[in-house]
Amino acid sequence: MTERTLSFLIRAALAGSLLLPMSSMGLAALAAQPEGEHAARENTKDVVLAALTDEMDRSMKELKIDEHPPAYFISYTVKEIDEASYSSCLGAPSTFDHSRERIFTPIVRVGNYDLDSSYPLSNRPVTSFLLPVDDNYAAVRRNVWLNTDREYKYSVRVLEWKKAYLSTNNVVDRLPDMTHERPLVSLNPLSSLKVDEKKWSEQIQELSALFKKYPTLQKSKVTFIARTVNRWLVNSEGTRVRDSRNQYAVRIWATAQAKDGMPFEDCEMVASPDQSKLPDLDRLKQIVEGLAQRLTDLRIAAKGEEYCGPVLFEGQAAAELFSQLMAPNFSFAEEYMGTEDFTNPLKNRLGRKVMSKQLSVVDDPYAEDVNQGPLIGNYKIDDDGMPAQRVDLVQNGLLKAFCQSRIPTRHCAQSNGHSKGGHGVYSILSLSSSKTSSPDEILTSLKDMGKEAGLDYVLVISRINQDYQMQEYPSSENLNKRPYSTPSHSIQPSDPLVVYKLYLADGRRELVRGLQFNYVSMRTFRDVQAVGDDSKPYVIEPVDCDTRTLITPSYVVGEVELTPTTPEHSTPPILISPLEALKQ
Amino acid sequence: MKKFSATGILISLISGLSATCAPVPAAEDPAVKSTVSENALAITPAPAVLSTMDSELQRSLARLKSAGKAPVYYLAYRLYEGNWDSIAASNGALLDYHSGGNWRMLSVDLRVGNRHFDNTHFLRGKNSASPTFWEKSSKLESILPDGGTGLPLEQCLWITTDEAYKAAQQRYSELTVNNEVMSAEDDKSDDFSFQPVHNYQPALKTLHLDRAEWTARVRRLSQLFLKHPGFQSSKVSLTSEPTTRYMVNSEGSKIVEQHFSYRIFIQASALAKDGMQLSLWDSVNVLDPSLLPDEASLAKRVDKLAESLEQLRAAPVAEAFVGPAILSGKAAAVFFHETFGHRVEAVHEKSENEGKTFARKIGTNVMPAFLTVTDDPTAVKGCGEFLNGHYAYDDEGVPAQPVTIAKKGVLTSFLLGRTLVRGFNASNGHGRCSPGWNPVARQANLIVSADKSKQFSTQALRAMLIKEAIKQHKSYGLLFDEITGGLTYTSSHSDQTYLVHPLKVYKVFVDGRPDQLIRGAEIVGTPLAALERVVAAGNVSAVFNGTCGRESGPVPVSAVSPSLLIQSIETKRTARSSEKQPILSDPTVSRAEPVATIESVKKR
Repeated sequence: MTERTLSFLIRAALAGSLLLPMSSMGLAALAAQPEGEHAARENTKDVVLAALTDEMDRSMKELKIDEHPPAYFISYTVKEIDEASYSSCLGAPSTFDHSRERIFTPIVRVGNYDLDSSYPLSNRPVTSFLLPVDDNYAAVRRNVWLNTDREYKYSVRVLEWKKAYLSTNNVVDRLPDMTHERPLVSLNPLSSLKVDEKKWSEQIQELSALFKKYPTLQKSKVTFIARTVNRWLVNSEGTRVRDSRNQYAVRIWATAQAKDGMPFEDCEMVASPDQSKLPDLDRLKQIVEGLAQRLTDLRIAAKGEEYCGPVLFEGQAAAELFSQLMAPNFSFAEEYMGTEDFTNPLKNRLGRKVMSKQLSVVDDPYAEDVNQGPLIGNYKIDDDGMPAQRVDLVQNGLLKAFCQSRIPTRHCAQSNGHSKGGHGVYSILSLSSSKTSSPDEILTSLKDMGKEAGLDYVLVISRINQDYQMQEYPSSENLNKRPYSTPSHSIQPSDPLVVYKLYLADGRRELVRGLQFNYVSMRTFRDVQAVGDDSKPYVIEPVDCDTRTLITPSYVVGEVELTPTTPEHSTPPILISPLEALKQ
Repeated sequence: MKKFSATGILISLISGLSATCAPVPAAEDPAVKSTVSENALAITPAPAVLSTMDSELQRSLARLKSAGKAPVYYLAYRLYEGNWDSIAASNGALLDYHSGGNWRMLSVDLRVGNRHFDNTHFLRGKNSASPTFWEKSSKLESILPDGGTGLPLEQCLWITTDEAYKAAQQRYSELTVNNEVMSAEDDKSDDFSFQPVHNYQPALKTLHLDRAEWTARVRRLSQLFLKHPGFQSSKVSLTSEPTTRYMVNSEGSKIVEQHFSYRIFIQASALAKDGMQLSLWDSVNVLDPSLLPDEASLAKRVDKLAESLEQLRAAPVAEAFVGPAILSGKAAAVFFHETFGHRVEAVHEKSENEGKTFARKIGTNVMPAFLTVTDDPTAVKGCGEFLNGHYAYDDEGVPAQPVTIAKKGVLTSFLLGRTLVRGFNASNGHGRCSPGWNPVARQANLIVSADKSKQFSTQALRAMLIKEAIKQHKSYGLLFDEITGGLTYTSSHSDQTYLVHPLKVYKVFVDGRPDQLIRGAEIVGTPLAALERVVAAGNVSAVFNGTCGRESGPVPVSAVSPSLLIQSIETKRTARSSEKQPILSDPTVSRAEPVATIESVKKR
């Protein structure tokens, strides 16, 4: 066990968690006997846990078809999603919605750790099913029984397919299918959703009414989302996890159109696992008005022109660019049989330079912020039941590691506690530099670079388009969507929304609109020339992925190309809006 | 609901809510009576909603009338508002929990050009119907408020109208050019017909459902299925779908109408030994929660359904068959809905891509002379049952009207919305749609009746079936009893076929052996041929209440018919799944909590 893991465990223990990695605490016998006294005592109180472990034990012992082998590994995950939301437009009475559902994800593996029935991710994502929300043993157990049966039969077929494939194809140097890991018992109390309904219903209405002051905006909406996710995770190796996480978020969204019809959309989200750490009403009002004013200003901003030169990425834009271009490549360093739908462009670059020399990246699933406390997206135990670990991914520009699950990679045969839906995926990333500069120093070096490039102005980008949704994956509406997205060679970031020209002659800032990136890639991060001392956590939401945090400073990239966006778009509305008519 | 199938062929689907001819018993248990619940429909005063809608309509119309190349000549807003709830349980446990459930949906019907030819005309070459313009409040980025009036609602009406206006101008240009470069269309009837001003604003009702009580009841009922460990899935649910529709248009009409639907749905499925997936359902549909049956009657229905499914699992498989058959009232109702009803919806007799089975058949015989078919949305009840297709005004603001479609076998009319078809110059109140879709002519309550001279008792009809089977040298005829629904293809590029999915089919042997339940038979065929072979009817009618999915979305419908003897019907075997029975036995059989019995329920 690494020093870091140990320090994490100590931290977790101090925090009052019941996290007990079996072997490290000398309790291996307990793990081997989940039906033992301890487990039985827990089970009597917890119907879901009892139904899961009882059916898992029966299936491990008895589930077998003809001459095919029984399962060698079973894992069950149940996620209970309790969610409430309020939303309002232009001060209309808040809309309230509250739902609770349970999502069951069974994994049944046939074969052995070296060669089993697990399959490359794209062909068949792990399938999830709805489980009753009542604590009714018979109903839960019946559902678990039928879905285990289905998964077992499917796994038998996949294993035979894999064996046949291996005997007829030249698969060199194949890695084992699953790592051997120590089981973990961490049974924590479940929690229930707590929302101050009156407060949020009123605040959302009040916040959305602020948009009335900005009559040229077209659509606007403010939404409050509160979610509690209780989780049960058991596996046949003895892992028993029961834990709970909370998410609270305020989402602010609005649209506008310039006089020539160019459309704009801006979305801002503040989120925290702790309701009390969300910004207070005054701060939320500032955020709403900030967004409304940004869009109002953009409507009348000048159009941007083609540009190639240094760019300062600040605030949300710095986080988004890193999130969209670089972050996914720290995930999925896994090897797959057959044709891969994607390839991780960094997979074979361990130890080599992938970013500017001054940059380092750390992934810490339980990173905390001095002001905000625990950050959104944090976890202590990953989706495989492994303790979360802090991992140095990039040190001084050199790639040091990947985020890993229990799927082995060429670089590491063990999990480092980063499983999301079974695959190694990044969590809370933190980008840092060995050399940071003050805002003034950053501006000076930006201007110097501009002068060297023979430019009249340089660009500052402070927002990149992002449509934060805070969805949960999988959920009843997205049963087959997993909480991860795969790396890509060719992904292009979304368009910058707030871009300023910074004139070199007089230091004046001028807002421009309608620019897009022209063929940028993760190589951008090899060209980071200066890094600010203003690191802050930002909420990010990769495509179709769950919300998490990214800690980034602002930074200057030596050369970025931008071009005007396509001039084709709808003309502005013929009639002025009712809101505008009211103001006239 | 499917609008287009994977092959691009327009199909129609009906799925049932079921209904037996026996009157639904009124609630006896005092606990069933409505009480206040957390899920009451929040009603904003109708005049306020209509006034907001009308003022924004007038403001838009004044400016848009002369803004583009083609003038706006008609504008209508439909705002649907509901508070839907669903309580569903399986094996005694709730499947999910949801509260809130308020929603609104706004549709904008904006027409440019003139009534003879406008932007909603079928666009040849692109094979496309007019696009829809709607907002749904539950979408994360919708600005349609789910309650209230005034500015937030106006802002949404404004932006959606603008979108609709621009698309209408674009589409109208394309249509105009198409007419110039393409051959003349078959049917030159008008795209729209005007209506006088209608003002219909009855007092709005709020009905209450005792959610806590019904949650407990649904849980208990679903637990009854635990007595049948061989079933794979089972469910009991109660859905309540109270909906209010507010409508204003540029003709000056203001209409508010409510539709209430409370439905108990019982469903179970099991695998036969050969892997055939068998599924049975039963349902009760009422307009007021206080009319829902008591728990003991519902428990009986659960038990009856479970018993039928057990029988079906053990039943032999049907083989393909051509020969005489009796369709029970409900089966015959679905048969008529598919074979005849969809083909008299005017849209299927007008559009260039439609099969137009009956386009030139007005005044000719299309079925045996003893049959008469009407469609009557004004009928609230039929055969003692609530009819699901009842309404006062259609979704185009036209009063509902009974229409005789076939009189003594002769085709007399089509079902019409405001879009006309050759030979007709006014809507007959059948322009219908699901919230968010564009209305087209749809069925409502299709009622089939037979002349007295051709009505026979069940026994007599059965004797005629046996006689017919002997005549055709068959060892048996078929009796189609319960039915789940059906579908039909009407597009000109597809085969003009229909399909009816029965749940329970019996072989009636000519040699007097007892009837034999069989599984896996589906009725297939072509409509014109099938209609001609109806030879006799029963003397009792039955109601099929269901939901019909077509190009304007799923709408509530019903069909009423006596049982029918058909001289020759064709069946095919249902596709079989390749699933195998679970390897391990049901783990809950010995551990399940005591199952609620009808007696225990009665005691409560």
